[in-house]
Amino acid sequence: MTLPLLLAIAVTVGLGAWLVMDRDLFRIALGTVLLGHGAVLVLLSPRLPGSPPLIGTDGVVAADVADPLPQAFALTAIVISFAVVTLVLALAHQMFDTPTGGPGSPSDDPAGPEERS
Amino acid sequence: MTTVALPIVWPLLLAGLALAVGRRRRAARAVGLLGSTGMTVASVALLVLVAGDGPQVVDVGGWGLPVGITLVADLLACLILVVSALVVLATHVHAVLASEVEQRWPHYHTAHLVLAAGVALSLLTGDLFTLFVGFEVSLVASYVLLMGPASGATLRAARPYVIANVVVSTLFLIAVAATYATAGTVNLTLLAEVWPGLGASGDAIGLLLLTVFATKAAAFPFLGWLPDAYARASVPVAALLAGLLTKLGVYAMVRGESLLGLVPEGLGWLLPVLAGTTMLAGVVGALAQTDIRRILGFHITSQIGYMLFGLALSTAAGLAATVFYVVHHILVKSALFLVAGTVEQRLGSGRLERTGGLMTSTPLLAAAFAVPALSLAGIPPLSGFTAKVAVLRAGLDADAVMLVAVGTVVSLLTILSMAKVWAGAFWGEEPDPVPATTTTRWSPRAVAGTGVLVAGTLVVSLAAGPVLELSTRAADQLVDPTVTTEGG
Repeated sequence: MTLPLLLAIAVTVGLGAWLVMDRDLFRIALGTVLLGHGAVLVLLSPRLPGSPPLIGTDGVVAADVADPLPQAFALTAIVISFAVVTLVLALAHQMFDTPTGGPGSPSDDPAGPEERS
Repeated sequence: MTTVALPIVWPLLLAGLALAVGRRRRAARAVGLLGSTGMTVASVALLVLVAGDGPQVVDVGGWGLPVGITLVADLLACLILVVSALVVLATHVHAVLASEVEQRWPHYHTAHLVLAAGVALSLLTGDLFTLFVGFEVSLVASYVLLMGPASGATLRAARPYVIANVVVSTLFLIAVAATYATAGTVNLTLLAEVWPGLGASGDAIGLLLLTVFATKAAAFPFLGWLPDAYARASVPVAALLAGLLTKLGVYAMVRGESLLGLVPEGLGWLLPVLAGTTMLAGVVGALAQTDIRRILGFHITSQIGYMLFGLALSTAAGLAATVFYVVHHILVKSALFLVAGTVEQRLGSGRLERTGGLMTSTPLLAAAFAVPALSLAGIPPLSGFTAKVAVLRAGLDADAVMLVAVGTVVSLLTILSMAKVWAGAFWGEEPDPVPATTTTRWSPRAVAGTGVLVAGTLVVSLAAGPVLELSTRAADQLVDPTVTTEGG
């Protein structure tokens, strides 16, 4: 793992953790974004031991082929963290709509669920 | 092949179909219930197959190790899958028959089925990354279920739940990435071979994974996010989440600890301490509560402590007791949450000072509460008794005197707690007048879903011997992982 990558991970995850501990849901959503990116950066950091998983039909290890597994992981992780961030933003939006709404207001914002689907 | 994948694929397919038929309520209901029923049938079929023919291993899409995704159906996964599917079905029946959420919100069925598929994927997967994906699928569905039709106080209660789980998921992903970077694989069977050679980085990753799973399981001290969210969520949602999600954390911990040994050498005290404090913290927290669902929420943590107790012993008997405890607990806890929600609907409040007299006014509801409550408290001959005896006996065999002592005390306090709910809600006079906020009139339909779970509890109680034997076999498979590497 190279030093710049290490620093990038530290800064991203650190900022994300700091933002997530805020009271404001929008900052929490931003923190979620950063945490997700930090995790993806960790995924893309070069692995140390093990062998390249792609082996040619002739049994020769293809040296110039990048390991596809971390990329598949990262892609999946990006999709998931995108979905989660969207949900946190939706939560922020709904709470913004009903800042004081008590348990006695069940019928407000009927469009909420449809908007997200 | 199809038998192993069906409990995951079937609910997902019908979730999509439910989304498509969407606003036609009857069609959505039919599709939704078909999804839950089909998942239950598929899970039972899988359990029968695995109990007869041994663990089933499937490489998804024909891609084998080390690049492919493997599904592994062993006895542990299948046992938990069957009771989980039963909870999915029962809460779904309750949602359709007796819940206003489902009437107000046409997409309830989709979220419910996606959560079920996520749980099935988490249970059946054979690698760490897919476990992460399974957790996320079920979690995202649970966020939607908690937030979907909610407003005000319910949303505020959902907030810590969402934030805690989002942060923990990120930690899990980082742990998975670190695992791949150091070990070169995320497949659990392959990991088990290389794990002892990882040294200090293996220890660090193990502790990180342990923290993640402990938070998911709401073990002490990571339980703050749970009671509020479960007390405020709509009834079938609370019952579904209470039955399934924390137990996924326990399942992951059992899997990780037995295959890899997550706890580093020299920290042998960690799991016993975690188990003891979790049992105590949950039950003490419950004593201070007066709201039925909050009491039950704290008891989830306390019961998780018993499951960790069995795991902490690191003996085959302890593992078997943990497996049986999980099976028993999923059914009982979900049933209790359904009843608590029905009490709230009936009387307009779940606070014990505003409830009472339900034994005379609705004896059926009282019966639906009595069976799982007695089982939770560990009264013979119900399943909770067998579970507690199995755990405590395994503890005595392993000379874990302190844990056995704590377990016994906590068990007595649990009886006290259940008696408090019983005296507060079911004895005495009905509150006069019944508050005008009661939304639905009482009908026996409200206990139909609970009935399914009570029946399940009774089956586990009556067939405690065979179920315990299955749990023992499941534990043996865990301790000897070579059985899951064959096949394909």
